[in-house]
Amino acid sequence: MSKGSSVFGVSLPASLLGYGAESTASTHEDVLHLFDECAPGLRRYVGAFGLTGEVTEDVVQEVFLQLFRHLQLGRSRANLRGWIFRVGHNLALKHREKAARRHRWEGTWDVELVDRVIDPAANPEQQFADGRRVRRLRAVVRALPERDRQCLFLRAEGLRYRDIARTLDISLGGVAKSLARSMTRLTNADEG
Amino acid sequence: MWVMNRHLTDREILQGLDGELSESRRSAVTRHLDECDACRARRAAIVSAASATAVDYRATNITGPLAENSRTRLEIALARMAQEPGRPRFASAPAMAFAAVAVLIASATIYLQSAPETNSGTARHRLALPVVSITPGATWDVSAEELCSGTTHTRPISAAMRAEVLNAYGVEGVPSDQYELDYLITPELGGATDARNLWPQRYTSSIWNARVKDELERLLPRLVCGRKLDLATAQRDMAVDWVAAYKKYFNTDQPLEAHRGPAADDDADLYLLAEAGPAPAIRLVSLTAAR
Repeated sequence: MSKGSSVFGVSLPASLLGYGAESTASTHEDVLHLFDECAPGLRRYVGAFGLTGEVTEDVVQEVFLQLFRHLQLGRSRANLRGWIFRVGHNLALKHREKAARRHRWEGTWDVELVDRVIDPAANPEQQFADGRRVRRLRAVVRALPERDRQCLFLRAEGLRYRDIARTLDISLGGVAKSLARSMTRLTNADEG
Repeated sequence: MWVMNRHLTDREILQGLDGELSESRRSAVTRHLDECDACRARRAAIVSAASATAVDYRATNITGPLAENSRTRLEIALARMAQEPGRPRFASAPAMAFAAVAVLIASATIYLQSAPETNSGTARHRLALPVVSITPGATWDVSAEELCSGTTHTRPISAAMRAEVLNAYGVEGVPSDQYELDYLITPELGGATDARNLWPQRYTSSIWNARVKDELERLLPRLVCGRKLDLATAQRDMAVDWVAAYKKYFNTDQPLEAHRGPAADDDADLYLLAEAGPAPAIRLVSLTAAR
């Protein structure tokens, strides 16, 4: 951004904002940058809590507004991706508990995207085999205890073990054990 | 040195793959893998299952209108927070209330001041677009033939309608020479004189300003009447994202040189002069999902 403060792509006088104009501008940009980078993954991870689309989106919004406050207050900028998933996890839990109290929780992770990892260039027999494999692996993932599934998903989102541990509030060893357990089950399904 | 005199566990293999082993264990695991066919095969099986699962998981993208409007919603909320630094707002407003929230917070200052054009990238041009929930777009129920024969159903914009739009965007107090009350879908394309099809477009905010949109507004009716473009497509493209439509029809990423410059004053109010015949039914362009 150019000089001065810019919010929503708009110049605002610093006096109106009440704090350092430069820092607000760059914080704003940082949040949007992180949003572009992390929102799709966060939405996916939060959606896997079985929340409705609306609640999922509310959680995503809430995470990035909290991130803005976090940065505004000059708190740590180290590993913000881990921070985003951690806050998202906690908010999703809170929302799910709220929804469960209202009997509105709609169940478990369930997506109908069976063909996604199938190579379209492969021949029909190969495609069929790949599709069956994905369904098999997905059945294993569905049957995992939720904590193990969350470890797996956070790993797939690219989080380091220490960030997964902090997000799920378990030990580093607990993460390694959980992931290994899941891998054993997944490879068993492969060997079928 | 840590010596490995047994096969590796799945945990060791996975931690090795993920770069999560301590230095001493890493070299022991590496040495073992160099020498052990069984463990290498096991590692290959784990790599295959782990990556297939991760790829499948990451292919799950949640899309839809809520996700698509998400960034705009965040930008508005951030602007609001920045304006009220003393009052942190951890928005817990339900998505359903977003329309109302957008109305409240798209304040005059935010909406009408100029945006420095320092960001390329498609997200930025959204600033040149109306707020979806306020201005979804609306058309008269008319055919291309009627429009091309010169029939337009322009109605006067009543003071109440004008006030409704300006109020929705929170710009009542802004001098009228800073914006153009513009049709999202123009009358030449069947756009209705309706509060849902009118928005205050900034003159200077962006390279994607009213002047540039005017050029698109001239082109599309010509294409429709020349039977090169379907009317519904033209209306839809205009309502969904006129900037994207401009890029598509003029085949360019930036406004053409000839299309830049000060905007002509063709405020929709000028249509007040048009004669008001009987108005046909209004069709709402429900494109929110597509935008």
